[in-house]
Amino acid sequence: MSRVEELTFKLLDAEISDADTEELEQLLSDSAEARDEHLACCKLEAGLRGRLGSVDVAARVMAEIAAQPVSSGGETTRRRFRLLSLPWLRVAAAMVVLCGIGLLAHLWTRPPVTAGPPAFAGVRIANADPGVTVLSGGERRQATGELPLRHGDMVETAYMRVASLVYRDGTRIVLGPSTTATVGDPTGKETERKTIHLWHGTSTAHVAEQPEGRPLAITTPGAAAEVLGTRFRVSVDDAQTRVDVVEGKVKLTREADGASATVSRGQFAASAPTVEPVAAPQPPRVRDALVALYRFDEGDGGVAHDVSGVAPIADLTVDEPDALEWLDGGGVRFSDRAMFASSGPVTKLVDACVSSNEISVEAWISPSTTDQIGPARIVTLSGDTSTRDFTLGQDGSQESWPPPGGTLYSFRLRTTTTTENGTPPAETARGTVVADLMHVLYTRAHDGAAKIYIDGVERATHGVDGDFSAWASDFRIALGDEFTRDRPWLGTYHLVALYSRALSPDEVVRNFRAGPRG
Amino acid sequence: MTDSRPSESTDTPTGELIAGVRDGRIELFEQIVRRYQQDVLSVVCAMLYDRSATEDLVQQVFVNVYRSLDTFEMDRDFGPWIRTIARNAVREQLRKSARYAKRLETYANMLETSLIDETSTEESQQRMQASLDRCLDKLPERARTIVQLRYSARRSFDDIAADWKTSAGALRNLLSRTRTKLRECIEEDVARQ
Repeated sequence: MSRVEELTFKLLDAEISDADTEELEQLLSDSAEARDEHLACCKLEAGLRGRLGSVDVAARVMAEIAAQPVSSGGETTRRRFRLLSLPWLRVAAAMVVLCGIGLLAHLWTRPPVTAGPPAFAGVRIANADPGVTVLSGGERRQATGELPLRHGDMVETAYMRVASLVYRDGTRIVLGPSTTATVGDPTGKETERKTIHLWHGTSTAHVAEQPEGRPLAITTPGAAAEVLGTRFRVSVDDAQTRVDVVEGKVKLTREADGASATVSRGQFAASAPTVEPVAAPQPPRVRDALVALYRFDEGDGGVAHDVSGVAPIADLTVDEPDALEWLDGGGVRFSDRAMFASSGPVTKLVDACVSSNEISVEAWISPSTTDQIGPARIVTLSGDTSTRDFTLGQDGSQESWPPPGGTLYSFRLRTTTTTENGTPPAETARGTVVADLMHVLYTRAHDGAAKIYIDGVERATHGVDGDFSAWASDFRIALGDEFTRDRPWLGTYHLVALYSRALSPDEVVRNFRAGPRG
Repeated sequence: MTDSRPSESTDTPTGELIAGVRDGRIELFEQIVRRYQQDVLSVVCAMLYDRSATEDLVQQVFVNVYRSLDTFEMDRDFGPWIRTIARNAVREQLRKSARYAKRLETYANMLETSLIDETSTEESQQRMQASLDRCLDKLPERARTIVQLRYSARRSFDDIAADWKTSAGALRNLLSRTRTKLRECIEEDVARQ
């Protein structure tokens, strides 16, 4: 196989590096023979994709045109397709965690296989993982790409798989692993209101402001949660329905007798046949092995204080104070290029992590856009663009912009088996990043197991062998950019925490439930 | 109008479907989409390095078709008309990609001029597809399976590697070698014709 072929196939598989792209470009510009060979490979690829690739976009097309009149002598009204780009500024910010009723109830009240009315429910699956299936009109099929859902469609996710349901107004509900949920009203009568019935599993919802009198409802076999503008997660275990409110308010009602509780930010409530819903405070965030903590509640100025209480304190100073916008109630928005950085090396973090060979990096953030790449630096302990101890970033394909498929969360970690640049990175799937409040948490245990959790759900698993003895001790911490000032990240920081051990999955959920102000 | 395409899920001629949609029976457009989506896909496949955008663009093409349906002249063939819309959409997308890509302008230009040029598509594409079918049949079982899994099932190398208990790198090499064999086979096959 020639070098041109090898590089072309890498390009076609979207697995080509910058250096290889440069080499290919050079080969193509130098030689007509190389161009012919390259073109022959491309023609073969087009043939294979056209011959073997299958596509069924009929449902998606019909969903898009359903609301449009047939043109009469002119073009019909244009409509936007990219629902994820809807502004979230008008969204009432809140977050709720709702855990649903038990497995027995699930087994006894297994969701019926509905015939499925033809009406679309105004929601689509976006970026479905493999292993997500949709039961529609009695037929089950794999959900690939994006798929509009009809009233009564049942979505099921396999172990370690998730599905994001996105409504036209930007409301987003992420069904977690091993989850079964019915979308909309199977009878087709309740079409004006967003409804999801969770039979089993977990979901996290981020709800845009809803019309008065038509709250979004997430029901379980024994309870219901209604919200007008909030974000929440729904899980079903074997005993109860539980609501955890991070921001905003949610009303939890026990179906059997109508007993209810209004659950506010920082509280949770449970409902079961023998448990009446009562709001109670959330457990506090995990503090064991906490090394640095930034809450961004200063309100003004150019310093983000390390409030971990762990000496020596590692405050961060911004270089462009005018680029900051401090938010009421906590948080700071980077509306232009800026960088928070420590004044010197953070030895307490390096020493603790090198000793434990473990780390957890947690961030409550709201990315400004879904097209930032670089990786765009969210949290970094590094020297420049190619040397680091670790970097949490937002990244995506470099092939074109906007990055095809959306962007992802990337974590580079230097060990004795990775490069000075911390590669290969752990990465979530493309399209994971949304311009919305997100809880991102990376953990790496001493046995090499690394994971990225989003909103408390494991979204990437990675193996990083070796230990941390290769860490440099003179790197500084930075938020929002690399020290070379060419990898900016724009968005809002609500909380950043650094731990010198890998948090357990339960601890990750605990910090998620505690919310950005917990 | 004429329509040489065999019907798939229904015997309703395409012209009647178009007329029905124009009269407000929007649901008939779904049959048009299902009838022509593979044709559109074969054009859109020219967007090789932007694979994830392929289905989005196929969808966009049909929405464009729907919006332009009143401009279609009923005495023309529908297939070439819809493929023209698809080609225009691909060209527009490729130009956008080239504008934003860092170093792939040459590549995008080659694609635009060589892969979606109307004069080279119809006949040469049919010959190429026929040769491709024959060459796929000649592949060893393992090679044919990896092609099917990648292109038909669209599974990732990592997923397949987990099933086959091998490394993703080994599968990448296998697929690359298979594509080289296919290219050589097709060149020989076309030369014999």
